[in-house]
Amino acid sequence: MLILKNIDKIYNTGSISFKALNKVDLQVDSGDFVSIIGPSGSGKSTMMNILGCLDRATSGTYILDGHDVSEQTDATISQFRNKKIGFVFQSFNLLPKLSTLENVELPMVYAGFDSKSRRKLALSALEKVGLKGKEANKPTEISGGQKQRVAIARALAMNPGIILADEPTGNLDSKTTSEIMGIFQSLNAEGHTIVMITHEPEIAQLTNRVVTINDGEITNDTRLRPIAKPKKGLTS
Amino acid sequence: MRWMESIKMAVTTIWSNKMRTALTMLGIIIGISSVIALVSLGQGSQKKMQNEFSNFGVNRATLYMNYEKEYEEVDMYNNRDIESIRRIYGDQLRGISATSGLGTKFVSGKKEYSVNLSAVNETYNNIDSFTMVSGRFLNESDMFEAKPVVVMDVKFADKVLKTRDILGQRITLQTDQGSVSYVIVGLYSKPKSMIAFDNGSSFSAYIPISNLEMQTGQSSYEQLEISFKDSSSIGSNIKSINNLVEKRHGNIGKEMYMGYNSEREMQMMNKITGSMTLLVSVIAGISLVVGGIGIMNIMLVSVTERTREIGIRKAIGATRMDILGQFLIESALVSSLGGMVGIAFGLGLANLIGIFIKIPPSVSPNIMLIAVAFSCSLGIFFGIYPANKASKLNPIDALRYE
Repeated sequence: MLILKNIDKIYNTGSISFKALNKVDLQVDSGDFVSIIGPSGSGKSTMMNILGCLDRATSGTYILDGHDVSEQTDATISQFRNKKIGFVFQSFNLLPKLSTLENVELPMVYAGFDSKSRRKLALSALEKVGLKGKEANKPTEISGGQKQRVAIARALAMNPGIILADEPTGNLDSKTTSEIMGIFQSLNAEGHTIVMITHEPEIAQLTNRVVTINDGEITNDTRLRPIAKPKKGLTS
Repeated sequence: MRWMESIKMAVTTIWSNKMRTALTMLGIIIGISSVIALVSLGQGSQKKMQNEFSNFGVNRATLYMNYEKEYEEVDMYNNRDIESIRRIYGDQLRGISATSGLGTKFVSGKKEYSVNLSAVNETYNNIDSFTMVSGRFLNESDMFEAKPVVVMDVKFADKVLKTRDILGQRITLQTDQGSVSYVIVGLYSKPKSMIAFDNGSSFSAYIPISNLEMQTGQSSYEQLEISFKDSSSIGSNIKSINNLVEKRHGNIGKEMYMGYNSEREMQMMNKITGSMTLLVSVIAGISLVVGGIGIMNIMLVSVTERTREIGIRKAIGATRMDILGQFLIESALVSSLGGMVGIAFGLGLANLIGIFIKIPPSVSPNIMLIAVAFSCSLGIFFGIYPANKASKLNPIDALRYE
């Protein structure tokens, strides 16, 4: 469960200071599938970075699974990113010199898994996103949709409580987009909590809850569907 | 993250940048290889010189009359001097002998060989370094009875007589005054020396000095050879022995007696090689620092190049220590690799130069270990700044970096 309370984020660039988030309150419950929608510059990416512990809020409280993130050390926050959060980026952010399998294994390397269990988990994650047989390929050798599947498999590898997706379909054509959205929907059906940024309303319609953000403030919060009951007791 | 993973990762990165890595290592390679080459050649020449000195005789000293002074026969060393030196310094001596020479010729058919007879006493085989091949060296009864016996060089037996089966046989040698005849009692061999003169047709042999005295009627000598048991106080012992002789001959303060030992030459040699080594170390040190800065420079470039990679790694859970370790291991690996290549180059270079200057290089494994350890720590030292810079990158800034 994620709770943002009274979050401000101010960017200081030289003499100009810019308020990207203004007193944002948000709660995301386990098993939910939330889309955050808004025009560019609205602060949705800033919010995502704070949720993903990539950036710290200027003021306010962020509670991740009962831990106040602002009180944690650097090393603990690294552990949060490793174990509690799975990231999917618009630009995939795969390491080009590693094979798809090695990319998926990477979070488990930092978690200290031995190579045998790493391989096993990575293979099953790749299979889950429909990439069986592409284990040895480099990211440059596969299509954009396949790259995003690898990124999703990597996000899934550590079985995190929450998956954060920052415009995951932004670089993909409409056919691939619906495939990727299908993967997210089935992951949610399995019980994964997902927060997704998008600027396309039709994609937001596929999620359970749409949060609209404008000029750093939440202007609308609509629930479309109830939180799905997890089929398997996967995550909290 | 575990060490093996970090090392594997570093190897992958290094392998995918082969050319750059090779160029980065160049400074270290040049530094380490010049150190290894010069140190091993220095040690080789030192070893060779020490060998030379020990062939000459360990802890050996020569006392001799100062030829710049005018001295008479009564001033020269005599047997009573030797006896009193033995009485006083006996427990410190391995051997003491007056030495004198007699040039002779051995005639075999039309061929003539020069045989240099060294007249010594029975302790001389403790002074010079040679080994008996067969028979025996001169003994006390040879000395006491002034027997006409000789210990020949085994090379003389091999080259001139063509047989070693000559013990107990008589050999006749021509001198200026006529001919002398000796019974061969032993054959010796001497290690080949760089200093000693050896032209293949001149041989040395030892006869009892008492026998020479009998022939010439002369019993005072210009030279004494001494070997000490202990190397530490040879210089001062030489001085006090000469003082004793001075007193015995009533020549106090006349500076008639001189002493020589190889200690000073050896110290000089060590000093020369020592300062050579220092000079080389300074030059090598400079090139190693330059090499280290090269590594730092490339690592900084690499950190900038891989900013996005660092961001991705951090986003999926790499800690500061993970990133720091990754870059430190990378630079340590590059520099240790450079060190190892440098050792190989240095050894090759030393052997090549060694062939030309005829000094076999000698390398202790310690030096190689030190070289690898040093280059490794060099890599760590010059890797700290770039690695720290990488580890401190803010993940979100690193991810946005284009």
